[in-house]
Amino acid sequence: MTKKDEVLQQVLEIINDIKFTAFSSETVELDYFLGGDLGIDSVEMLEVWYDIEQTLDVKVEDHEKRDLYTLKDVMAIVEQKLGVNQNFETAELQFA
Amino acid sequence: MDSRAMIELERMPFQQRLDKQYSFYETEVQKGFMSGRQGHGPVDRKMKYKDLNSDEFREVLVFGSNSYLGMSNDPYIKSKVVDAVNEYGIGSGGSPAFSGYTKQHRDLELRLAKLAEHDDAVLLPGGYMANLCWVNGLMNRNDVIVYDKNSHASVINAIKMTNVPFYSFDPEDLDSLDTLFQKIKERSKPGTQLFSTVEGVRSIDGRIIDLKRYIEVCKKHDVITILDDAHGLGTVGPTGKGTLEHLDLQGQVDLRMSTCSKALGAQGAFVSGSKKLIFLLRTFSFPYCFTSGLAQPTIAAIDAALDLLEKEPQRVQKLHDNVKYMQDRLEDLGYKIIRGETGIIPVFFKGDGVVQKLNRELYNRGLFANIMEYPMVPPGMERLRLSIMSTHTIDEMDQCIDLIDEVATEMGIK
Repeated sequence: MTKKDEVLQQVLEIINDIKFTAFSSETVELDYFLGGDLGIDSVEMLEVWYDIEQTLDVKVEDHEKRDLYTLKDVMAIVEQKLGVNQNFETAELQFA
Repeated sequence: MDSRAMIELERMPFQQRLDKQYSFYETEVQKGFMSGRQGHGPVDRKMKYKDLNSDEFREVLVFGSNSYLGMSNDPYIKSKVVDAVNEYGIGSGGSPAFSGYTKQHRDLELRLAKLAEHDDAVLLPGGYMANLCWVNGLMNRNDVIVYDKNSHASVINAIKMTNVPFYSFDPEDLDSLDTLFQKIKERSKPGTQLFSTVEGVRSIDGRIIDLKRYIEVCKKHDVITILDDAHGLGTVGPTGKGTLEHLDLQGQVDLRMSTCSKALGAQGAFVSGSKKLIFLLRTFSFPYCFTSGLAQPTIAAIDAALDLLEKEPQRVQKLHDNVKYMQDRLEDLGYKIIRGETGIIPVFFKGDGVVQKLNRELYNRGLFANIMEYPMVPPGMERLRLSIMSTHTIDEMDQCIDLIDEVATEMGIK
């Protein structure tokens, strides 16, 4: 399992603790929308961010949490904070 | 409070959360927190207000009221309300589904529908209820709504209570909206109806998006459109009919919501649309069916305000003249503002978290205005939000600007 796989799995576990989406890191697509596909509203997303920051020991400023629409948008920030900087297109192919 | 503190608060046991929130409130009151200021009517360019921690009502200049056309205290409207009270009494006595629907309601609905160039309309007690009404009346979990990321809290609440799948979009990026509609359609079951809503005049800064293109994108994908024009009625358009008249797009959206509590100076709101869509709201929307119908004095006030809008469209032009005067003066003095097309002028200052102190001092020196702080607006975008009335005089506008400049200069935030 690559580092990116591990991070995605952790983020999905956090999301599922709050929203029970029925998706796993194997079945979710990175271009899924937070609202329409995963059912997460903006306040719930702040809860998800809180747990991401605690679990992965990263700090994400509130202004960085705005205007994010897809799981890919969220993962881009998490990976940047963790220093997992590979080209995202590669990751997209892996999870497609 | 940042989002981490907010989540920690939300996860506290109830009693602990209550104690924490109440102690936070008490601290804010001690600091001279401005929310909860009590006014003493009538709503006008000058009003008496009292602070939370004082008993004195003091007259201040008002640049923070949504009564953009000065109708809240208009003698003609007041006399029509008195006539209506004498003729029809006060309350409606029930919800529209039971006894609370009268000829006066029906006549006003048809008048508002005509104003919007739609077939029919329903009246609600306020904008919040009107947004609950159209979401809850039109949609269910088998549909999809795509909403403006700036949408009012009532739209978000309506979506949650209706359980309709939701996507948000940035109205400044309509190319992405086009792509989003395409993606949603590819993933949805065949026949899934998409709805979309957008704000006409944006409440936080008074700006208007490229509504023509928005409508084109929606039509391309057979999306049913709902315009939230809460701030547009009476403030834009040659005769004050709102954002659609302003952009020559009357009747081009499927549904439109406007409030009667702002420029019309009364209370309530309406949703207009086709005969069939309004039938659906009137018959199946719980927020409409099971809320008491508007009281007779309110119906009369809205009706009389529409009389004035028709007879005196120059009020709208006067509002625009006043706004331009204020915008020009503020910019001449070096202030960063957003030049919107309505009665709202956002003014920005140097430094984080300064607007609360600024507003407190403005009130002390005789000016009532509103502020918008994080999380209502992004960090660094905190602002003083001036609301202009068509009835403000040059002298009053000069006094307002002089006070702002005086305090901002003293605070070193200009």
